[in-house]
Amino acid sequence: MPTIQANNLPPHGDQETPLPVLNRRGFLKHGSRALGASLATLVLCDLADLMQFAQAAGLTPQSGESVLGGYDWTKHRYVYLIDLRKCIGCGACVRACAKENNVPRNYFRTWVERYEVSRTGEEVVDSTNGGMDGFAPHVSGNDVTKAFFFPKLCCHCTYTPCVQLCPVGASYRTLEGVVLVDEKRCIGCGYCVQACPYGSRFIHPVTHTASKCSLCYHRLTRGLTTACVQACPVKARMLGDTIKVGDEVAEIIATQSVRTLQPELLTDPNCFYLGLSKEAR
Amino acid sequence: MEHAKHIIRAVLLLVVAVVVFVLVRHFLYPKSFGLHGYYRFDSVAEYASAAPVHGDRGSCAACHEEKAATLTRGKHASVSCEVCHAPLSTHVQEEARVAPMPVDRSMQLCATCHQKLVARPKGFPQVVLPDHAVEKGAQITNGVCQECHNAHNPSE
Amino acid sequence: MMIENDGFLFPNDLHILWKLMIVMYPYVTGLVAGAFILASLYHVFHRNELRPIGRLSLVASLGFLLAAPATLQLHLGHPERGFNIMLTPNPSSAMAMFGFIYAAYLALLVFEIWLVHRVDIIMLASRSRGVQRWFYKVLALGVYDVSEEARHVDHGVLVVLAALGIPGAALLHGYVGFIFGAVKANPWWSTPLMPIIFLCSAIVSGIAMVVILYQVGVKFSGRRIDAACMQSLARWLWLFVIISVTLELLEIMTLAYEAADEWQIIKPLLVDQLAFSFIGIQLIFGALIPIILLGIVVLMSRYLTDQIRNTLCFVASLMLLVQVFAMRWNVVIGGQIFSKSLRGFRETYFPGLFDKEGIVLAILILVFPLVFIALFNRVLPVFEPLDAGNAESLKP
Repeated sequence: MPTIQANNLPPHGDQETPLPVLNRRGFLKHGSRALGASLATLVLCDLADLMQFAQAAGLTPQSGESVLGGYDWTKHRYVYLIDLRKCIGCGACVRACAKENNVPRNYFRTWVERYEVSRTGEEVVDSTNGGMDGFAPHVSGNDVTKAFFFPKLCCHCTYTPCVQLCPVGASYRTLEGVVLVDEKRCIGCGYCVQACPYGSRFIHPVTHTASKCSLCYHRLTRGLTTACVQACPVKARMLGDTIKVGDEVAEIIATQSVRTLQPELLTDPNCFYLGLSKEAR
Repeated sequence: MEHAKHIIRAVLLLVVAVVVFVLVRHFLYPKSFGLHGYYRFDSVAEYASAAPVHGDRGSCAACHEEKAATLTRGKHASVSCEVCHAPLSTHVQEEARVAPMPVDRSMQLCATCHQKLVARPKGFPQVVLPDHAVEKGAQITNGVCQECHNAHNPSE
Repeated sequence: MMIENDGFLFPNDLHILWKLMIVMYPYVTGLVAGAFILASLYHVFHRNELRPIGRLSLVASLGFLLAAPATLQLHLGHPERGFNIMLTPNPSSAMAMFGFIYAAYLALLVFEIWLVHRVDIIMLASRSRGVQRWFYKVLALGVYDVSEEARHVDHGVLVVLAALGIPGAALLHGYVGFIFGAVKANPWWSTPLMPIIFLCSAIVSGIAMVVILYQVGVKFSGRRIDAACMQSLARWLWLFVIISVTLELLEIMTLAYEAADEWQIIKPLLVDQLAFSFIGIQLIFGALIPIILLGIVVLMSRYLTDQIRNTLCFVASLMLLVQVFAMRWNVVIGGQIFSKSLRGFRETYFPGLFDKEGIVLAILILVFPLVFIALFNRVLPVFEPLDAGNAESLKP
């Protein structure tokens, strides 16, 4: 693992000047100065950490550091695309996600909703068990004129409120644009869960830390696609990479009419939808 | 200042508290924090090091070439093996077979895709279950769909 | 009240996540800020009629301040990592500032209380014997200077501290409001008015708490309730209730009049889900009635006997303490009863008795400051000594 480079440390001030022979008064004077200098160094070290943070916040790509052998995180920028006109609501994605990521029962890193809209505008929405077991025929008694399935997952927003307000820096966004939670630092306050407009986060009932879609980061770093994309039998879910030349998904996002969820909040999601209807929230 | 001795002492106490805090914070500050942003960089590697549970589409074909070929020819070509079977890691771990691969032959599983639902795209093949099976004179048992349909190539 | 889930909820939105302790947290810090600002009216703005509660409100503020972190620690999924908030405070997070604002405020409050009681500490050190004497000597930091000049220095520092403390208190509590007000995902929280509403109701709860503590404390110490002081407290209390309730109503009127997207869910939230705690407690029982009662005290003062004034203030204060609690409840719990799908309501929440975030622990947290004040009073007097000679010189 990379550690802080020695040349990133601030210089040690005047400590290098040779100390004269000390009497008691001199000892106190120089001792306190040395103490002051080492304290200042400590404070400066912390400041240096902050400076590094400021640099990284500007998202200047820094190569050379591999997250996992052979995988270079500066070479990817992931986007996600869901084609609502293709989704058949089978729930294979939800099941695959739960198995891949050991998601606790009754919590969801991805889920599927079903919308049924009648001619007169009644909207019936359901998502029994997050759509994990598929959907049963459903008699609303309405004259349903428009109906669709609506898969959801973390939008991996660029300006994500969850990372903004995590008090301890446990929620973060990687260079590739994946929003993750550091389970070893999360204090379980739940603020990020409140802040997510899409309901993508939850507090894990066993670890008591925030949990969410990791975009199968462990698969991406091995060159695999996410469990949900792989499980989708109709290619309604697609993963793209905007850095990759000629990427199919990036091309669709760049050229076709795609929408994101709640765009008015300006979170700038990286999960895009084709065929999103006005009822869908 | 002669009469402010007590104030000076109180302020000194405060300074000591701040210094203790700075020292404690310095030694407890997590390694690799702030390297690439306001987070612990090691956490990224921790995520990356988790073992995948599912394989990818090619991993089944490595051993089951014939089945994979049948699948690719038919209408289920886009269905991942692991949807009806189970995640690869239940069957193979570190390139070695650890357990038999289960298969879900239930009508409920077929229904998740092919039960007729108003919200499904119109062109997608769907039937009313279990009426469809009853119409064809089949007993509703586990594997009833496979009596007529080959799951690896439904049109065969 | 509806018991069942209604409509469609996002699958992760089934339960209330921020429970009783997060209701308690703004409530307790509100008492801290309110009591402190009341104390500042005397120490900084020289409202000398408030002198009888000058010390009491500072000590009460400290008591509640010491209790405040318990609410958060009980709420956290990992209380043992609570210190992370000071190790790696995220500069873009409002919540991350809690540790620093809290520590600075604690230091300021302790310093101020120490200065207010310094002459008493030295007197007690000279009168007592043995361990007790040592204890007071340490408290005095080994300086026994009670000269006119030293007291003058004390007074100067005190005014500066108290003056710093007002923005401090406003920050401590305004920021709690900000934590809710800055969540753009939640239409019931997301309003720039939130910090101001929180601050005003904090002052209401702080003054109400001091009214009750003063009346009870006076009973125990065999003194008389100072009529001018009580009248002044009633006036301030009345003013802040009116401001506070007006702001609370203004926010809802704006939401209703704009009738945007969010009103679709907030309207049923207020009239169905929160009918009892919002309309019943927050508006009628807790605001309308106390405003009338305090109005009587303020406007018809000269027709009132001390007995009636004290009773009216006491009753109104109790009701206001309930009102402010209800307001916190309606914000914190109310903001979570609806799912972010804005299409349905979660299961109704009622705290358990012995849960980690249950009623018993909540009561203990509220009792702690009272015990703290009683203990403090055994070490140092929370009411100024009756022999005015010493106290007089401390007058600001």
